[in-house]
Amino acid sequence: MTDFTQFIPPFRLSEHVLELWQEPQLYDTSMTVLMGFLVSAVCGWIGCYLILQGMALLGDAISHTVLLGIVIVVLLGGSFGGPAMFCGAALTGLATTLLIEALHSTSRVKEDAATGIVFTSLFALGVVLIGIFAGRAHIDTSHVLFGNLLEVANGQPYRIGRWALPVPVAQMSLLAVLIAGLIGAFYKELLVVSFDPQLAASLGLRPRLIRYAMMAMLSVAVVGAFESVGAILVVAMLISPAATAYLLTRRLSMMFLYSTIASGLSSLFGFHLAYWLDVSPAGAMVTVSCSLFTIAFLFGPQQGIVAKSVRHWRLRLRTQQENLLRCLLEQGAVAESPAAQLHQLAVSLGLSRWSTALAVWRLRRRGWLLASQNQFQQVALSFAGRQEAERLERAHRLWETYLVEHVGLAVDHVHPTAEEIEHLLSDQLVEKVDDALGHPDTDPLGEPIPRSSIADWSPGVFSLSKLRIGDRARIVGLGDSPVELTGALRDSDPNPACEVVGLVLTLGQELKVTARNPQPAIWVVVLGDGHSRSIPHHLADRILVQRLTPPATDSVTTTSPSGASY
Amino acid sequence: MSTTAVPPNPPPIEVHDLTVSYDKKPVLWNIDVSFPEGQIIGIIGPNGAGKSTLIKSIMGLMPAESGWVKVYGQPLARQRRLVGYVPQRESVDWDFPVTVRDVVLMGTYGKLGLFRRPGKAERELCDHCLMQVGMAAFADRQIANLSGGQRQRVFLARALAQDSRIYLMDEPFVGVDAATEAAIIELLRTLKRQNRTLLVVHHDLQTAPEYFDSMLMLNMRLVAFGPTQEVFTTPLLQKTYGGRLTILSEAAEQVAGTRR
Repeated sequence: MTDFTQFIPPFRLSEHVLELWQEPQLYDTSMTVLMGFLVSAVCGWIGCYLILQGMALLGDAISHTVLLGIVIVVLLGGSFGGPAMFCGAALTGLATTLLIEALHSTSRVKEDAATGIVFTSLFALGVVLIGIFAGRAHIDTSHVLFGNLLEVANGQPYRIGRWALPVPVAQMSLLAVLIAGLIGAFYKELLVVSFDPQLAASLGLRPRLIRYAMMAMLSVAVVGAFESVGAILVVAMLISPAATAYLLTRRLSMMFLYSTIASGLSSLFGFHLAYWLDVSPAGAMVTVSCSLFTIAFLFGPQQGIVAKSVRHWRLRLRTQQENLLRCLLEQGAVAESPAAQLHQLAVSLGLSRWSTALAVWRLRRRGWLLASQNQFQQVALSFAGRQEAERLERAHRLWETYLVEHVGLAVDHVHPTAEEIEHLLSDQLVEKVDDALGHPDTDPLGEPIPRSSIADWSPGVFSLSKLRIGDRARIVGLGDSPVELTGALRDSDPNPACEVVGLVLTLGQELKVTARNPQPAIWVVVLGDGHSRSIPHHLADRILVQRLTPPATDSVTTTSPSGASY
Repeated sequence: MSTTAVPPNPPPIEVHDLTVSYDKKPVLWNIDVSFPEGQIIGIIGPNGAGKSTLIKSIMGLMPAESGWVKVYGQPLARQRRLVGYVPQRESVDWDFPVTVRDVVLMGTYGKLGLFRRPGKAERELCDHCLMQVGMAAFADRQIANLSGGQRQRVFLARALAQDSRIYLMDEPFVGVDAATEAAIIELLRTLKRQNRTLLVVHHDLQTAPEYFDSMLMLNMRLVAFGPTQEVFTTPLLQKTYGGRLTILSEAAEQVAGTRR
């Protein structure tokens, strides 16, 4: 096998980087890098709009057909890079757009195919014309196709005071200022046309006209870029900095900034890469530019592949931990009760030894798990761990109940779905489901649903609707209550009471839940004075109580009491 | 030359002999209708009846083959500020890198004209409009993270920011949650109380009689237009929905075939 490394020259920092920024070479270096940056930045700005409008292919097309415009202008006697050439290019760009639209609207050819046909035809025509008139016109094909960034600095300098800029760089700077100015001036028009052309048209803007203007602008930028990077690599400059920026941000203004930064980096690093490997600077710049895109694709903070995998991985870890918690709860491995054997747990959950070890380690760090001294052979839930496990079990069983009663699924279909969703539902949504179901005590299979540990008001204060049969509680207030209730509970009232549909309850009164009617949901309570009251769901939600029975002693949900034998 | 007498109270929208083709195929034939002011008007009809086409061509977004549209007695081009358009929600790319506020601000562009950027006054107006649709808390959110109902509310807030006399809305109730639907109809009624005219493309017959003061029943041609209790009747509904007029469709196909 060939040893490819022999083709790569050794990298020397002083020769390939530092010396280039010192006196004899400083001018050439800075001009080349500046030109690369300007070309890439200007193309990138227009590229942002191309990408957002899904017109990247049209940009590709125009950057090629502009060649034909250049050739025709040169044949007609125009100078290379003169104003005539910019006009010619703008016209060619427009012609390309119009031709594609015409072909697309008058035949069955779809837009992408129309684009492909028009741009290759016009491009080929340009190549052929160069061939025929090569002697008369001073252009050669490889220069036009690939450009030569290194020659930029050798051109006639254009002097402004003590500054000297090579003509192409001066031209490109002017172009950059012009295009930035146009984008700035028409920012809101470009925005509305790109986002919602129909609204733009209804506001009296002309989306098509603006699009044509943009294509003309693009053509002009491409001509400016031609000499240095050539027709083929201009496409990369149009798309890749803008696409990189698109992956990194969700703000249009930031997109312009990031695309400009990407242009600067690709110009600088591309230049040095080209010097080191002795390759085309334009090619090296585009290589760097595409590497930046790859980095954004992989490591972008929100949409990057790595960030996404990390999120998935963390969710998987959490799911495993939470399954472990619930498994322990089902086996009754709680606090002082006998602990569960870890390896048996791992087998029943289908986890590898490492996953189990990691889950146990993380759960212990959160204080949810108690482990025996001998190498974590035995584990049990701590008090906080049991609360967490009950929270999960509650979400699981409530969701099962919801699927059966509201969605109408068969009982044997609901477990797998609930198994997945219990890890994803927010506490608020779980409480909403609970309320919609009328705060049930058991799921459709008759399994008990753990109580809510989410306080409705201040810590320890719940709605009366969350009480279960046998619970004792003291009334402490009325939450989001109708006016007639709050009126009765003012501080000035020595004996605050409320009276609704024959219901008389007093603040501070103790009560005990003696019965529950599921449909419609009614709570029957016995007050301290021995009288009983029936409280409908909507009022039970509003009456706030403090439970007198501490949750620790009665809320353990052990579905298999025999689990204690572990 | 002769001076055409403009009636003292021209209707918000007058459509005269409007024929519209889509891809050379006629989809609306000779529509004649004049909409009254200060009403919520439903445009109903089966799929492919030309409901969206009608409001698009009123808006000048689709060229008419014949006929004209007048807004308060004048051509639309002179009256654009008076007309607000709410396109179908799915007609835009919701991955676009802008915030909710940016989208609502677009509603003020018409009044701002060229070169003027939205300033503090526009921002305040936009926040007020967002509040009216219950989306004030979302002003700085990226539009990509919104639900279907929230997106529709953003579009409505943008329409409010346009502050038009007439609104043309393309299927604002499609695919929104019940709360949003209620919020939208409430908003439409508020606009109506301000004597604005609302044209709403709608496809749900169940809610139609409750929502609209008048209805335009459309199926390639105008089947009926009038107050809801007069036109929302079984015979007219059958006429609108009872299959296409086969000869009309066939003629349209043939016209398209020879023109292509």
